[in-house]
Amino acid sequence: MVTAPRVNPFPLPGWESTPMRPLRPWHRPSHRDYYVAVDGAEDAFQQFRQDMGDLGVLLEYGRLVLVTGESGCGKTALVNRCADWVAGELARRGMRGVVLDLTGCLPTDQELSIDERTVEVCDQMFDLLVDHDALRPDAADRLADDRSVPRRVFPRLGRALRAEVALIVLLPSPNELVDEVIRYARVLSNAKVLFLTESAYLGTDEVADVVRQLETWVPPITLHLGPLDPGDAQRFVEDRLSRHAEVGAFPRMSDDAIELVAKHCQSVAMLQRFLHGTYEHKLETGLGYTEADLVTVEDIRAFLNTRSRNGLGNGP
Amino acid sequence: MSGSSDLPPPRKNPFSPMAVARITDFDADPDAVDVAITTDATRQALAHLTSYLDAPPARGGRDRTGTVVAVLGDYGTGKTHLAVRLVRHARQVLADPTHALYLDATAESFIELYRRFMQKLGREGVRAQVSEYYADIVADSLQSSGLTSDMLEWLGSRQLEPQEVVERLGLMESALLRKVQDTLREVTNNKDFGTALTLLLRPGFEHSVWSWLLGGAPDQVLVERGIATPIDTEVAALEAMGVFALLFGGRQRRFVLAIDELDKIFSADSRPQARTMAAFQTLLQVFAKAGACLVLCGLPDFTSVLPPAVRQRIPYTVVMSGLSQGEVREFVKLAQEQVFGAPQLTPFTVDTTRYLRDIARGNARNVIRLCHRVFRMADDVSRTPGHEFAVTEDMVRQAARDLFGSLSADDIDGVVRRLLDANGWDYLHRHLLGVAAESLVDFWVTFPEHTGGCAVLITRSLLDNADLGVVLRRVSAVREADPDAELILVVNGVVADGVAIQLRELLGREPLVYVDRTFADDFKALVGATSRRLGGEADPLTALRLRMEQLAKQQSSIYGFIEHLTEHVDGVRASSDRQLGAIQRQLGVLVSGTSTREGSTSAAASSSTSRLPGEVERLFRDAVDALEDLTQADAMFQEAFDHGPSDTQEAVHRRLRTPEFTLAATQAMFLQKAVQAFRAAVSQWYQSPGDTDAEDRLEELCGIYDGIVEFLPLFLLEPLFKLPPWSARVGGLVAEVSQGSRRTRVQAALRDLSPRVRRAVFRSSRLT
Repeated sequence: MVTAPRVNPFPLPGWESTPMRPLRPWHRPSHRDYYVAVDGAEDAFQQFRQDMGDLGVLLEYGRLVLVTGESGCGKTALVNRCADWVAGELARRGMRGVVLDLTGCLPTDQELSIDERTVEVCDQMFDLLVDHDALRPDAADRLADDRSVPRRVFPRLGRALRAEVALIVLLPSPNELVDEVIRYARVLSNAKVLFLTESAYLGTDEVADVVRQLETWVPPITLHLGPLDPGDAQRFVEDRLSRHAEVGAFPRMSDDAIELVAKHCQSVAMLQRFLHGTYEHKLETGLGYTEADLVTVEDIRAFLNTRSRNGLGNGP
Repeated sequence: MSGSSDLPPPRKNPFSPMAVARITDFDADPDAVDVAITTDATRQALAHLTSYLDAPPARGGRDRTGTVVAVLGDYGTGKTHLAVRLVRHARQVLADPTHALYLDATAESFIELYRRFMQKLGREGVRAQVSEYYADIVADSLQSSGLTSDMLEWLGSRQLEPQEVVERLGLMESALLRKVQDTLREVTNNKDFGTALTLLLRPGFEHSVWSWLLGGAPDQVLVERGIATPIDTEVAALEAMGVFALLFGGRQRRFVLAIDELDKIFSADSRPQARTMAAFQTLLQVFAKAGACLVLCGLPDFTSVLPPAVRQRIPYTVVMSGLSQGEVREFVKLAQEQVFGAPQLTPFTVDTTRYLRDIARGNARNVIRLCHRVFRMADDVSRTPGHEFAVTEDMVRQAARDLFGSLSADDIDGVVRRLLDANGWDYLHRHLLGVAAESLVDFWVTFPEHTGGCAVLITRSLLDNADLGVVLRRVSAVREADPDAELILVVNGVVADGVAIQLRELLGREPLVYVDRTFADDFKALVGATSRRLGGEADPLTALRLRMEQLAKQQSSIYGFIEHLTEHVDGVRASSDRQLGAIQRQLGVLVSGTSTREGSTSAAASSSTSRLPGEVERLFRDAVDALEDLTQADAMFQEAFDHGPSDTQEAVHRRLRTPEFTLAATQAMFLQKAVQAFRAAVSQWYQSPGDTDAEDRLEELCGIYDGIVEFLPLFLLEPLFKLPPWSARVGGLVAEVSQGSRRTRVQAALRDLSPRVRRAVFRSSRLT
């Protein structure tokens, strides 16, 4: 008799060691199915599609999308979903959407000024443009000398791209810097260039400020993700537990346990952390990990008070 | 040369030659490091501190109340010692030793004081404090769930950092940091500090924030976050200190800050501006609100500069009084116990300690310095066969003359003469008032509007009845010659307590003891007062005419001085031109000779060129330079060989023929060599591994240096102060006027060198 392998149902396939990594469908198309309507993300995505419309504004003027919400609400996953959707829409129009991920291009040990940050983004973007063969050959040579001068590169970018190419640029988080958002939307925008950015430090007032400052320009698309709504946790748990049923064996969750995580988890990241960690902890202890078993409140408590880092995996 | 080898080695001197408090070992037993006797002032101050430290947390979530204690006392009465003792005590009681700090005001501004304060708190200390607030907020967010009791405990005991907990549980970091920022803004009542301190919890901001906190211009990354103003004014510095009192004293914690030598900032000469004073008042209020304890130390008059509103905010004042006879005996026993293992009074007796105390008038620093010197004298004498190891009253007198006779007879004479000239008073120098030889007064000051005059008598230290007898005879002779004469008795040295009492009865006030920093003002005030007593009310017109005449004299005295100054400057210019030429020639020789001599650099030279931290290096350099400028031996010989005019050669010969000069110059050179050797040893100490014994080894080096310079006392350099330096030998009046500054400079650079070096080493190591 063949026994089904014991698995943790919460990591994404192929990303078992990085359970907190956000979904990335433009890179891994299989992730498209993993989105669950939590934190108001579905509404936000629909709003994005509606605001983007037929991509006419993007192709004529360029656009900026700003996603806000507290840490762990799924901003990055939403940004990636938006990027994937735009790339798909472009493909339907016979164009090539090139996604440039610059979210990690800034040093972490020393904070830079806005000027220095945009220089860094511009400089590294140039390499990615060349790697993706996104520029017209003559334009690549012309821009090469100015690769560290954002004010010379960005405004000429639309014309420098190959005719069939449009850019989807994932920017590093501006955090609390309203001025940086304004600069990308106003000074550095150009036809066929979509900037996607996210911040956990810009609140409602700051977003209103951004919108006001850009009133006479192409309006930014601002999307907000909230904390978990009632029913979100249940929906998420059911999705993940049913999705992996055929891959291997794992216990179900008791109603009390689901109720407990629903009560205490404020965001989808926290939910994923609790659930993945509890299953991993139970799996490692080796006992009671069959389909007939249940993950209980005590299992969650045991995980939360463990001293070791086992089961935590790497951060997002 | 080996004739003395059969003598027993000198006894280790248990008394500190510097008699200054050690301010480095804050975590040592509060009573064990220095010899600590508990005076009444100590008891009072400790009681205030203890009641603050022991006070229960305020109820109803209200902050506990803080307190302010002023410690007032003259130089050498033990303020620093007490402040250090209070801080040590607080560090022992408080769970976190970084919550009790000692700070000495080294400059005349709060900006500098604030900078030192921040350096003491340290980048890590500030970050840790902010992190405590973060831990509280993370703990609050976990508390409600009841799920994470172990995690909460680890967070509380800091086995887990808040950032780690946030990551482990996937908590909303942005929301928590926003809460920290709101809390810090509320606690500090300052938006910029709330923002900046919260940024310390995010990676990449530490350098910018710390540099701004130390007074630097805000980096662009801070400007972009709304922080645009540097902390570079007195008001901003005081406000910032209040912010940190609130930060450290908040959350029901306690924070003790002792600020020493506040008189450097608050003095009658440099009274702070009204805005600064208002900010200081706010600081006291903030300390009270923060539940922190502020100890302010300074000279007795520093609080008198403060406006009443500020004084009202200082609920407790402790006045340092002189040591009593019993306390001096206790001190002698304790000090000897630390070195010899048993408390003993020998070589002192009850009588000699009483006498020593009287001469020092109980001033703790002077008591210790006298003890140090007489112990050495007694030990030297005891090693001569037939002499016992005992301190005598003669030794105490001799030591007092050596240590406290601050000016030579000629010097004090010159000082008084210049003061009389500068104020436009008429006087006769060395004037015989009557027929008796004893009626010779040093100065006879007269006032045109009055009859009679004021006799100025100058005397050396008045230590015993013999000294008193001489003065009494002079006073009687003056009164006999002119019964209406006013009298000012100037003492160049010290006055024993008993003598002072008798003189007070005779003169109606204490004699005027020469103290460099206050003498001019005190003397002027005394002469002014005698003039008023002699004259009564003059009619306004006459008074005006006389005042105009006095002003004219003052002016002519100033003109005379300026003329001398001009001549002197001309002389200096000629001399510098010559020296510049010589320097240029020597540089030429050096440059051409460098390549050939590079290989022969001696070990000593290389060790002396290895750099020490700035402040430490400066102390050694100041000491060496002060001695070099005093003797100017190199300059003198170089000029002699530099084809100088014949009068240069003659001047060299004249100096070398003067035994006082050569003897004192030898002393100065020995002292210079000792300082250089000390520097080399400290430099080597820096290159050795920084293990746990390092501080002890530094202590040992300081001890060795102190032991050496014990035999090279500064008063032996006196002849060099009187002689104009070589480069100003034609300076006349200017050179004479600058005698005092030469002495002050050498004393400032050499006195207490080893404790200052130790402190500077400690300070620089805290910064790195």
